[in-house]
Amino acid sequence: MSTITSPVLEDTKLRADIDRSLRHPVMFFFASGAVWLAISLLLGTMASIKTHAPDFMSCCSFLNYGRTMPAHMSALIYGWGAQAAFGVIIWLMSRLSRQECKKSGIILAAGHWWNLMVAIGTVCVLSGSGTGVVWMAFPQAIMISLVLTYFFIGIWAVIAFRVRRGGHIYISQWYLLAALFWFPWVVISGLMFGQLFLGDGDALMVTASTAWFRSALMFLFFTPVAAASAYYIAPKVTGRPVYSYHLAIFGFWALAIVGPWTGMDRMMGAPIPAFMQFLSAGAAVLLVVPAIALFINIIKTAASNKDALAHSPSLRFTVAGAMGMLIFTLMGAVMSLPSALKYTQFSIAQYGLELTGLLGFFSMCMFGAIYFIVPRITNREWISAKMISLHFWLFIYGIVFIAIFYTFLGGFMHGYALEQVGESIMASSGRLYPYAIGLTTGFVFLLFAIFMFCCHLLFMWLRLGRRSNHPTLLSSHSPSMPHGPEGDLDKLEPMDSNQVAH
Amino acid sequence: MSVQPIDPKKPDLEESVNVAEQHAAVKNASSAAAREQQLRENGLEPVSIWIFIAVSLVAIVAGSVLFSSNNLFGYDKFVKSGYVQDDEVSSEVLVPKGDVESVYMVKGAGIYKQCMGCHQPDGKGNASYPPLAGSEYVIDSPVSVLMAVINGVDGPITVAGKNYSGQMAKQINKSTSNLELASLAYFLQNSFGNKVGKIYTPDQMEQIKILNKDRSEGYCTAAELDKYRDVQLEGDLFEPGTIINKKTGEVIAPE
Repeated sequence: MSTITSPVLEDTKLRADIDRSLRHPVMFFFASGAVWLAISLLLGTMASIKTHAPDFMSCCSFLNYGRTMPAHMSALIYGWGAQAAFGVIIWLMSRLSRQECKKSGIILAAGHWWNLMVAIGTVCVLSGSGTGVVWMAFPQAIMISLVLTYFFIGIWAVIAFRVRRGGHIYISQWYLLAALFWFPWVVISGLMFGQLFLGDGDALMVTASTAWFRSALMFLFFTPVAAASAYYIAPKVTGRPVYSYHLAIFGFWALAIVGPWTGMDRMMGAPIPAFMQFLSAGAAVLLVVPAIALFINIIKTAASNKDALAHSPSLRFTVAGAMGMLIFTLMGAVMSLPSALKYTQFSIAQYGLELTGLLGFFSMCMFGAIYFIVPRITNREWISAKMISLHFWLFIYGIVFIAIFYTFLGGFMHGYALEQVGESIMASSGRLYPYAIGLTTGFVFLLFAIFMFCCHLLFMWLRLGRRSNHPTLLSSHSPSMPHGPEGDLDKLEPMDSNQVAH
Repeated sequence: MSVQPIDPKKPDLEESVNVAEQHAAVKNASSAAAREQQLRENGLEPVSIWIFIAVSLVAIVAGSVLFSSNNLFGYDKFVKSGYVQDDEVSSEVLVPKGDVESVYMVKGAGIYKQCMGCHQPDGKGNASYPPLAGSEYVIDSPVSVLMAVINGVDGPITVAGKNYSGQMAKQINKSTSNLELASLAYFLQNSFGNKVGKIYTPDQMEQIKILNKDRSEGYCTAAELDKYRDVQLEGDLFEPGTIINKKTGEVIAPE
């Protein structure tokens, strides 16, 4: 339409066009990711129950701990984590580069293929033919196929960046572009050195490679994507600039420099040169630096607009995610101190820490992004503020409980129990019992939260969202209209930009 | 969105489209995008001194972690002292020990599970397989029974007054330890009603291995086993109640 004359409207139209061009792949990634998250949490709950009630559902061999646990982690990482990240990457990169996506059909097809591969991989793991390698439990052919599929998804975001309009590169683009290149590097390296190039009996190499792979995937893929989303949502919703742009750039380089060195602290005491393990332990402590940068920036930006902080679901999740990152890295730092590693290296603390990072930090930021993006690509508003609020609080209860009770207290108690040489392994497992129950309890909270989220998102996918020009906000403006004035779309009324800018 | 015809009331307008309506249509079609705020990029708040202090503290801790390793590039000393349990602390608790009779009986019973199919759990055998209970080859000397086990037996043989004819394959391989041989001999000589009571040491089993080297390959015959019945092992036996290491068979001196 050449008739658009006002620059503001032109801007709006460009945004709307970008949203429309990407609505199918992005919505597909979010919806299927949410379903995988639910599946993963169900499997995780199953695995957790098995640790304190081994006879529960013992009739089915595919529900054993040894199968549900790797299936749970794989579904969480490749089903939910990667797909949520892909959705955010392609949408955010297009928006920030101000370019429509011309190849959404290819991305959608690749997304379907990705889902098929994750589904086959999960079935393989459950039927007992997984590789048994932590975080890479899918059979090797599936992993290779996933990496190849990634290129069909990621390349379009790189192209969107390459043909961007406007000179300035925003901090989120830094993070996104880095994540786009780091993901294949980390996964291919992990795959090659952890599995493909190995003969039989290279157990040390497998363990060391996967220890690095897990940390690298967390800090060089999930973390930058979550940070990109946070650096976008916070200033966008509040309408204020990022508190300190220099600090944001500093945080990026701190992550880029420290991130690749992590992971080997889990190999403490293994026959590899000592500098690897101690360097990783030091790097785990240094990761607090980018976390501080992100935390300060997001909190200060959000706090500059108290109204938005109180009302916007996206901002609330993002702020929780920024807090999550600080807590996650602080916990990781404490657990990686050489004196603490004695207790945490082989105990449940490592698994708890992974859950804290993936759910408490990364997923929180992704939820924030999804609550922001979905109304734009579906042109519908979220149905119920109550469901969003329930999702938020149940998830917070679950993950805080897991982080404090299971990861920290349970992790150290487990490590202490394992150190008691005179004690039988049964007795040390007995000490773990209350924490195993605690993990199941945390998972039940998470399951309720994700049930809310999943239903809500699937309704939005079915285009059942509210048709309104008022966003769904968390605190009701009036008792009769829980979402604020409905606002008839056909008779557009002037908007108070501060009130409804979410 | 149907394109509006030229409005007759606005003859001056040359565009074929009603601009105001078109603008409203864009806003309606993308209300979420329309209410968005611009991303502002000029956040230049001065960074607080406390952030510098916090970051420096983190860096100091990280540095002290890195250099708490005494030997960064060594392969030999990869385990930092104080990190793993000391051997002195753990050895006492970790060494599995017990008195020699019970250790031998448990070990021997474990090995006998292989024999149970033919010689029966009670050691009495059946019509085709000779008994071990009351067998002169078991009771007279550990050498005859162990040679039978090590090499197998072929041909007719008379055990406890009854004739048997058949073949027994050799039951153990080279990796079977002296401790296991001694345990098996003790178990067979002191079970199923047999009461010999001699507790052989693992070292004595070397004599059997030497005997075995001297003979030619193949199954033992009854005549050869009869010869071994007269051979007794030299050297000291274990005293009853001696405490040994369950894994190695070494004697553990009482404290």
